[in-house]
Amino acid sequence: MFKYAQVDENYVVHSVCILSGEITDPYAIPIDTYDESLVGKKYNSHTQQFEEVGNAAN
Amino acid sequence: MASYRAKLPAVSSGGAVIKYVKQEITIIPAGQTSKVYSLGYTFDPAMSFITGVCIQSEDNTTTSGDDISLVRLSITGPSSITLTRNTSSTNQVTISFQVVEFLSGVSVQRGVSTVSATTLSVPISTIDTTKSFMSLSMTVPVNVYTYGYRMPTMSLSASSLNFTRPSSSGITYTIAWEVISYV
Repeated sequence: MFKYAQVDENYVVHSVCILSGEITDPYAIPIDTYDESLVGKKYNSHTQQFEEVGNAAN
Repeated sequence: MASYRAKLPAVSSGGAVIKYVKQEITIIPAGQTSKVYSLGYTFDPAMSFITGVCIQSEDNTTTSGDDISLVRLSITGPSSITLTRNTSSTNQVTISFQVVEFLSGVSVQRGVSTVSATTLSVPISTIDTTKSFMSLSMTVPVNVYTYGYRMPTMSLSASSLNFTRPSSSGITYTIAWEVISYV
């Protein structure tokens, strides 16, 4: 199974999912653990971490 | 596996075979927003889906009805599910649900999405839409009927899950979804 956090154009996570196959999408970030608490957080592409909105500098 | 099949004869739907169906009624107690419910056995989340209905336990004519009585149902582990409502309340909410596990022949994709705009497209692994169906449950932060907000519709394409609603209304729906495909 393939786990992703999917982000919008502002890199804010709108979905966390477990898919049956790999997808190629610039807004789908592979993650190691399915964690619904990522929804609403912002992905920092520099640190590759998810941060609370307002703290991320993307 | 043999013991499960002894309890419930396998039912074939094409190549898919149902292994076990668990039916339960439970509550989210007053004062709580979520509950992790142990099913008491181990199942394969990749071969299982959940469906259910929540039963209001209080007057829904107030402005804070749906936020406490709509519940998201999520398979969150190999032996447990998580039930979540948006807001706690002095009242409990009752949930009737089923977890359906297949022995073979299906593939299940799942996730949780927040829909705040009028549309949201969530890429998924490619499916055959003529052999797939959806199961979803959602929570909202307000009483949608009082305010006239419309819940999003949900549709499948071969490579995405699509949510659409007439207007964004300024509120966010949180949706637990599953796409079950016969393979």
